[in-house]
Amino acid sequence: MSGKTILIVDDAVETRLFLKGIVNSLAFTPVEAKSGIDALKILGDQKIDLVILDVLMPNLDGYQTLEFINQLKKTQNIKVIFFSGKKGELDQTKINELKPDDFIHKTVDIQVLKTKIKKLINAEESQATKPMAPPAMQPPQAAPKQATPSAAPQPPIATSKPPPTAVPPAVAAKPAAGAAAKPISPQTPATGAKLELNATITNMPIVLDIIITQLTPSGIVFQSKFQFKEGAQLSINCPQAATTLKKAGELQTKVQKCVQDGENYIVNTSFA
Amino acid sequence: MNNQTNLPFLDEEIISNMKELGNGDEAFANRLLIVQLITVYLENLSERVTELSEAMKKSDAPVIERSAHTLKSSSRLIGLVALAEDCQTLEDMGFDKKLENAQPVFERVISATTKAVDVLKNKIIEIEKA
Repeated sequence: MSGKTILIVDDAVETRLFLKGIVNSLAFTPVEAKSGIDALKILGDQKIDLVILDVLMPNLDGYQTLEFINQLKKTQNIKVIFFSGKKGELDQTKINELKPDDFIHKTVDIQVLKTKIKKLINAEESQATKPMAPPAMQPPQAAPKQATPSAAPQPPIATSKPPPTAVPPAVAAKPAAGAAAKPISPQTPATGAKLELNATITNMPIVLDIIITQLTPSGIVFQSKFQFKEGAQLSINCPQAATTLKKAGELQTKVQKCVQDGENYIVNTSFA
Repeated sequence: MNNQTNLPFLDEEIISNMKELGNGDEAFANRLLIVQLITVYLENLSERVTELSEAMKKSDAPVIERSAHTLKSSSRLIGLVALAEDCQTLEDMGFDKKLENAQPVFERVISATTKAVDVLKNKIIEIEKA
């Protein structure tokens, strides 16, 4: 049982301390991350057997973090517990899609929590990497014996919330007046065709696919499945875009705006 | 007891269950985890209350929702269940963007957090004497 490492991801310090106590009491090794981004960095650096993942966190929430982790799960045996204090309904569709190995409400009894962690770790020892069937949402335990924080109704998924800096879509039908905002015609796509350049972000824990939809002398607009924090520095690999912009190597950009557009995000960046 | 919820101010069973988790880490390696949790709670309480108060002044529903959520989670963890319940109510009001009845709940929260400081400090003394 020993020798297993459990990554605790929660933005609340008290919850991390509590879970650390639980993990220590089970003689596993705890590692802490206070955000989804920190968690992904840790997952890229060291072997983690189980992730206890808060669902509602600012910026990269539990859903988004699990999307990244699921890519890692293709090559690593990592179990993931969604740990939510949400009183209302979480997004069962997202949960079905993302398939966390278990779902535990924060009001769970300490002993139940310990048992579930042990069970998953033991399952991890005896199973291959195949993810379990998505767990059904479990209501909070009726007994007021909760030893962990509980949360409350919030929008179904954090990813559906507009980002803090809600702005009009970065991909405007008409570019703003002024030369700096005029799009550059890429060399390859046919004139008049909507720009769609496949590219990757390379400075994240996992290489992330994006679609560049606009190039300007001042920056890039791209479409992504993931939300990015304003000010985030991104290295974008797209030789075609670099050639068009007469730049060498990867494009160093900084996120200016990130707005939701259906299931995707439209991210407006400037060159760093 | 809290008139609204009939919950105790401090749930001793939660404190007791937490004690079983043993000692905290680093600076609290020789002290119980529950003491560490209460200490961290007290350290952060003022900032959390200020954030909630500012949001109430501005009737900023999203911030009320988020800050009440944080205060609720941390309060419940250390057994302040009545306070947590009121925070839950505020969080729900913030989420629903219906703040017309929020003020009395907020006032109960403020009153409870003020009381909590002494209650928790005494609880630490009591735990460590035992």
